[in-house]
Amino acid sequence: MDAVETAATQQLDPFKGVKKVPLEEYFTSGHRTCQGCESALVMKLMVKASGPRTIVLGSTGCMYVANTTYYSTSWVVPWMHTQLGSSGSAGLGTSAALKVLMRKGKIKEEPINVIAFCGDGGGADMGLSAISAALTHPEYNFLILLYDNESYANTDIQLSGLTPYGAHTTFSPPGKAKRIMHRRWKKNVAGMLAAGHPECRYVATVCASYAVEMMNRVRKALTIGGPTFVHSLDPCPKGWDYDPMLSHELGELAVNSGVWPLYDVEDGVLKLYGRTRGIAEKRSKRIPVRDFLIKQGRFAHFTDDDVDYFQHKIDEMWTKWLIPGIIPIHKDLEKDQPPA
Amino acid sequence: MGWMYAFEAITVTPALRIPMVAMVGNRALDDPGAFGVEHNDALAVRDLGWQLVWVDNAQEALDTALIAYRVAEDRRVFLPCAIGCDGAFLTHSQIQVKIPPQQWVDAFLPRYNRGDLLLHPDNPITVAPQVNEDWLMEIRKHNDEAMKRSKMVIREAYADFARIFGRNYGNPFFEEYQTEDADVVLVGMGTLSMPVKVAIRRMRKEGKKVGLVRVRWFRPFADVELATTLSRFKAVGVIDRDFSFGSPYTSGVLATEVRAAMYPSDKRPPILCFICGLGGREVTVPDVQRMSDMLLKAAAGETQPLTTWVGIRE
Repeated sequence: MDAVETAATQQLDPFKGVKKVPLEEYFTSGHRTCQGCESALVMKLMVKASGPRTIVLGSTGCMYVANTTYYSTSWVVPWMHTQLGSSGSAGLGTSAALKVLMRKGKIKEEPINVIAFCGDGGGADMGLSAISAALTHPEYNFLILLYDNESYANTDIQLSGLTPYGAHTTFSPPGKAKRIMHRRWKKNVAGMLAAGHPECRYVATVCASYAVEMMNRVRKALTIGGPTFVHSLDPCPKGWDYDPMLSHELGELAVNSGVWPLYDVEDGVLKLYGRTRGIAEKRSKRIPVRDFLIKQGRFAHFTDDDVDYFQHKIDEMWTKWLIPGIIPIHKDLEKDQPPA
Repeated sequence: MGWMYAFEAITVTPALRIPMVAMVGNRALDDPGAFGVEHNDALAVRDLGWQLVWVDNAQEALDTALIAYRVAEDRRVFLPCAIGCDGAFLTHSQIQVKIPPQQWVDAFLPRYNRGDLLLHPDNPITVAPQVNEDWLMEIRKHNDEAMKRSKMVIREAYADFARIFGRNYGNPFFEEYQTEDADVVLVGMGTLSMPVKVAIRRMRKEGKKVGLVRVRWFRPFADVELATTLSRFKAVGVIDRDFSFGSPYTSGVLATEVRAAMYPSDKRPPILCFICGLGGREVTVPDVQRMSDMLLKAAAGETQPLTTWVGIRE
């Protein structure tokens, strides 16, 4: 079998500590995201990690509407809008176009980073099939970054496939007759993409509360080559309903409570990192999920039973899953009993 | 159906001024399933800034592909172009075509230059930001002006094509067949010109003066040109290989457009719409004869239905 023809990538070594991170910004002023927006921070860190020789493609969502208003742009690197469900196609297509333009001698031969980002609605709902298709093409280098604020936040907090169980959204408002309007569990996107795409060499989950580790995952994804995927959990003051000053803390709470495991899968090898690794190796204890939930208005209607159920599901994720925190396949069948 | 699946991307293509050329094998939209031709798939983009052209045979498909690239990639236009090829009849049949030598194509078709719109780190632009009501109308107007300029560029391209390739299509926008002395004409797009031409030759022997106007370019629409030509006849019958449920007089898309184009004319003959050949059903010679007879009656002053489904089981 002939080897797949791959193009060279930029060699982006990990930043060894926050003091080694360059000062240059490629996502700067000119945007109008909400106060405390973690997704804007993710954008900033993402291009800081990738450097100036980068093309960014943005699916419709908060990071389109709020960042690029005509006559102003916060992007220092070339940026182009793509459609809600098209981040996979846009990343693949741009990478392929660069390759062919270089082959024809129309542009200088050099490794150019291609990053296509999407929100949870665009990536995990509408664009999942395009992302899946893109991840089957090892001959093109690009990263798909999913910034997950757990709702369609830009259009006023509608429920998405990544909205957690029970959360209050405009599509699932709790009421007197029915307290829990959203009874579906969040999709496991990174796990599913890692498990199902043998040509994809790198999948990671990140949280911008751990900024250097997050940037290093982006750098790794761009260096390793081929199609790669990074899933970032982004606390959202508007959608999660909390004081904007708590964004950083909520990211930490999500990780420390075990709700958001940090890991990367490189060439099929799973590695937990950061606090998640400590939890898995029993060096540190998972904090109660209640600590994470109680700070957010979207869970204000939760009774003790609801919190217990949420805790039970997170416990299950760490004790019953075949690969704890990552692959939700159980060895034994148990009855799911959400509170009435 | 892939065309419909890509609709979100197809919508932004003209808005982003991406001059791609799409060969659309017109096929009936699901449901119910059919492999044969219907023009509704390509017509679905008619209002979005796509140029649309229909071809009659394989040679014209090849020639039109070259012309379409030339027109689309002209910086005065910079709009995408879809070439409608009747599904099954053209897409799943084989015939010999003349492949032009590379140097002719090079002489006709300049290299594509994206210019200052190239997305590259050396050209750090932001493409398609959110403009809202502040600027949307102005940007739409750019596309409108580009589509208006397209007509002129199409004329130039066909003239150059005739000069370089030695094949002259005459009027780029529509083909006329036996119209010089015709009393009535049929108007249609795509492969149905074959049975229509055969039927016209037979009817001519019976003394019925019928002609054909086969429309090539649907966008930009040859409004003035068609109105000038069609006003010469006593009745016009538009054959629609498409449907537009609930449209004016429940006609097809082409008939509605032809009527709109004719309205400013001083002389407006009766315009009948014939819906036929949907889902790849054959448009037969007797079908064409029946349509022509209705037209001749309309020309003689007899009232005829504005829309008729032809070749349908009663």
